[in-house]
Amino acid sequence: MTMIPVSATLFAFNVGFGDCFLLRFQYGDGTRRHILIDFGSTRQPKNRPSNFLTRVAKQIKELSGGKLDIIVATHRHKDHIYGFRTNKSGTAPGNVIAECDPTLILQPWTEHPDAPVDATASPDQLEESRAFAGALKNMSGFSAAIYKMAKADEKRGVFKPRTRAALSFLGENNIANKNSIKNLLAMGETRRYLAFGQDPGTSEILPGVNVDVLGPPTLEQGPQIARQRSRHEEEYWHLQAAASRGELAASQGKPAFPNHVAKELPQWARWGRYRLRNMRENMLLPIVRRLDAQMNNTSLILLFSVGDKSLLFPGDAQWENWSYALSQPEVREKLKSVDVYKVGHHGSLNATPKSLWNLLENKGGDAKPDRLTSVMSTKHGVHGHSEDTAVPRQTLVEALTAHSHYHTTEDHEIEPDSEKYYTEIELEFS
Amino acid sequence: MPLDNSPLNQRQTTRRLTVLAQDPDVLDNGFAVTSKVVVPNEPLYPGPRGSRIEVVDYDVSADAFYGPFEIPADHDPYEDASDIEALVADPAFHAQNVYGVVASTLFEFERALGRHLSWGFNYASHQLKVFPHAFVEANAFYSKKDECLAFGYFPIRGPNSERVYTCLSHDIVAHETTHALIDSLRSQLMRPSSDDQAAFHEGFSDIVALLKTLQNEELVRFGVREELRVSSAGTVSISDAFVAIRKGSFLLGVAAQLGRAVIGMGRDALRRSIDLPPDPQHYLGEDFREAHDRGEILVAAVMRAYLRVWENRLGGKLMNEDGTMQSNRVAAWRIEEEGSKAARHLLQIFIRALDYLPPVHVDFGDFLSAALTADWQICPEDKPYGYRQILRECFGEFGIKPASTAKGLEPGVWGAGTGGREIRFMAGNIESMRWNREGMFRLIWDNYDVLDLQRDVFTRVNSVRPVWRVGPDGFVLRETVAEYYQLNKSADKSDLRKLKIKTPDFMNDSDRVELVGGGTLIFDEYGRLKFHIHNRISNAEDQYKRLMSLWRRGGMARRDKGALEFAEMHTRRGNREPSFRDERWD
Repeated sequence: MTMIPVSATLFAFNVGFGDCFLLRFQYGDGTRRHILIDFGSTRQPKNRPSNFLTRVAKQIKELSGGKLDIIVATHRHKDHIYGFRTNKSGTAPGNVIAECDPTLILQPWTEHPDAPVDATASPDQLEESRAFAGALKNMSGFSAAIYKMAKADEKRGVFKPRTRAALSFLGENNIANKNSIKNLLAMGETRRYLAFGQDPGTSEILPGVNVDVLGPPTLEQGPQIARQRSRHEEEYWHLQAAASRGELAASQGKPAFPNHVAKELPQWARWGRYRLRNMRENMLLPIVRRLDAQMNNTSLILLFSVGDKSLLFPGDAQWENWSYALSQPEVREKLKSVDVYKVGHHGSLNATPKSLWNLLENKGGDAKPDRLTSVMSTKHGVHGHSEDTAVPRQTLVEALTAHSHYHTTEDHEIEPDSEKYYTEIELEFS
Repeated sequence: MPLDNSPLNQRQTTRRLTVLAQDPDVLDNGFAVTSKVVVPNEPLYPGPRGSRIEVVDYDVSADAFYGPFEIPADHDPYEDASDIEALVADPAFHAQNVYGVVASTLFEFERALGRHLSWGFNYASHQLKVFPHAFVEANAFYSKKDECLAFGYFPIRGPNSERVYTCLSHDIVAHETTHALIDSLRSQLMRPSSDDQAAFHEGFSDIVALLKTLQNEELVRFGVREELRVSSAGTVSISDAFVAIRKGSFLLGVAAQLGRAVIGMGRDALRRSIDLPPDPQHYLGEDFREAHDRGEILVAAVMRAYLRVWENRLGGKLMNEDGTMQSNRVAAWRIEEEGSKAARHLLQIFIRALDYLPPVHVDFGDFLSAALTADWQICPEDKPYGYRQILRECFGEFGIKPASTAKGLEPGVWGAGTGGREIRFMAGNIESMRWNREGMFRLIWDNYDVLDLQRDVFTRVNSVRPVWRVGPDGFVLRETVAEYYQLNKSADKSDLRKLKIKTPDFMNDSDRVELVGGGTLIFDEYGRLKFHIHNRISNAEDQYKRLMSLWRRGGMARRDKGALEFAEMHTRRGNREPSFRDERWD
């Protein structure tokens, strides 16, 4: 007879701005299974102790009894995978995680090191998928250049401080994180790169737990995840990646025509310089924001179900990723009964689609039995400085507070002498 | 005393400047292919800076100012230039190239329209600022707020990081200049409106850039050589020539030369337009809603028309009166010449069409009627090459029908639009309305009922322009063109009901939407109203469609970012961003 878990515990770590969730399934015979869903951060807690992420890794190791059954890396943003990085001396958080000897690594299909694997794909589709995966890599190159440019501008002062901070944050978050990716490739007995509807291969590792892959869709299923896909778009990112090399050079103050640089700016050109500086700021931000959203939409969306209880982990998926799953009637039916919802993308305005939110039947006021539990990993004041871009989104937080048991990782403040870095959320399976 | 031959001799109103015919990739046996563009003759200060255009060579990515560079008054310093590497490495040439293409595009418009144009900036500055090396990025755009054209540059070809300068691409510079010129003539077309209007700016700018480039016989020659493997001095069979024209083979040759380095910026409009098979569903269906895609339909229809005009011109000159051909071979230079002339004539028709467009909510059918009317006014008989018939057919093959269904005129030409009512001249001063906005507004004020306008909304006369045009037959056309618009900036549900506009589902009781209408008034030299071309604020069906289109594209919540609209649109070429506003936590 198949074992069935009797309860689940979610350890939601406060790593600052980033996701780090350890999910434990407890079985009646006292055995446990542990799944680490993302481990990253871009802005760590202010009062953290030294080597904070390594300390977090050690707590993960301790809580899991030194064995991680599954690691899920939803997508390659720094705030989701930075904790997987290693160093030669073996003291980095990724070294500690590797010591936990994970059995299975799950990542989205876009992360396949050679080419996305899809036995049903036609050669054309495979070619397209490879091109998309290649474009994602180029975006990382562009991000790296943006990040360095923003850093260099701290001395030059061409951009306004707020713009510079936003460019720096978004650029840094989209950098390739090669070290972490390398570690994810080295760990685990098995790795799977998944798209909507594929078998995650978890049935033996997690007896009694059904795991549905709800995203990302393949390009065939959901072409909108690759918004740069049609006609000239992939070239666009190649161009930007190429341009980034020049951007980098230019950001270090290397003019295109060094022998023709004027010593003084003529009076009649001053207004133009002022306008062009403003324009440049306003151009770069939308580009890096789109790039950020593009990467978010490669997020793996997983639904863990035990009997009629379920937990939903959508990474940072936005509408373009969600839309395919939400168009499937059987998926919509499953989503109605979600009990625990990891809020998408740190509570941004477009990662909890209203059509998903409206499906969740367990949401309701304080008195509602088996009320929905929501948990958000976020940090105020990091992402977005205007009302339009602020994360978390206030209207969403208000809805979550009113209609669910709402938890945020910020509730658990980190101090230098904190003994634990997480909030625990329990779910009983009757 | 020797005759003063310098270009600044006041008897000389124009001068020629050397620019690249297309871009540094187009070479003739390894040498640069240049062309001479015609620009107004005027004093140029270092920059170069003229009365309408200032080149400001500030590079924000390097925080450096290059130059300023001079174009000598008495000669063209690059007249005999052919070393492409030297030209690419010379920022002074970049400055001349970008100035020359911008100034010649402006000149082309002014010549076709018969008057000076004012830039469409908010504060009526006379000079368009042009940044040839604005930043390191694969982008170029017009910014109304910043009164400028900005051209990026970027490395692209591998380890040596050879740079691409967008300011050296003739069609890119002409395309961006056209954005500025459309804005000058129809400033309201930058307002969010229908799918067609968003696409019109892009499509029309591509059309001007392509036809301006195809006027250059050097470029057409590439296509002919590519397809028929013949020099200009050689001859080819007429049937081969016709087959190649019909298939677009010559243009494919030209397309192969255009924009190779900057294809990712969407500079392959010519190739795509040839590849797009005629199908009314492109325009009528859902697949071509995005602005750039939709603009390509317009470009495709025009390029198809161009090929037919080219064939007609070539065929007509080779045909005897009895319909037999004079010869079965034709000189290659004749093919090139007719291709170039076809481009020039169509370009003039389309530029003049701008005067016959409604000032707001333009769709492609409006543009077709405007082009037909513009040409009909100058050439009442559609002879000898049947340009207008070709335009009707080619646009029709893409599902675009003329907006005008006026009876009793040539098909598709605008009717008077006054319902047979006569304009009243109560103020008695016809002269002031020919040039003065207040005079024109008084005329409109006196004729709200005749023009069927709304009295209770904001009304503004945007412009009043006297026009003199000379047709190919020497016939002079004198007109006054005025445009006005009507605006209700915060219409609520009750306002919509009053105008019988269906309330969109997305509107709450507290929501406000913007309603805009407007018209173009064209008077003859005696002050009689010839045309009232309008999209009324009270047109319930059109206003509803526009509101829904805006909502679908996220335009309702958009702030007025005029300055950066094109910058964002161009970077979004690669980032089709459908709006899913209903799914967000706004």
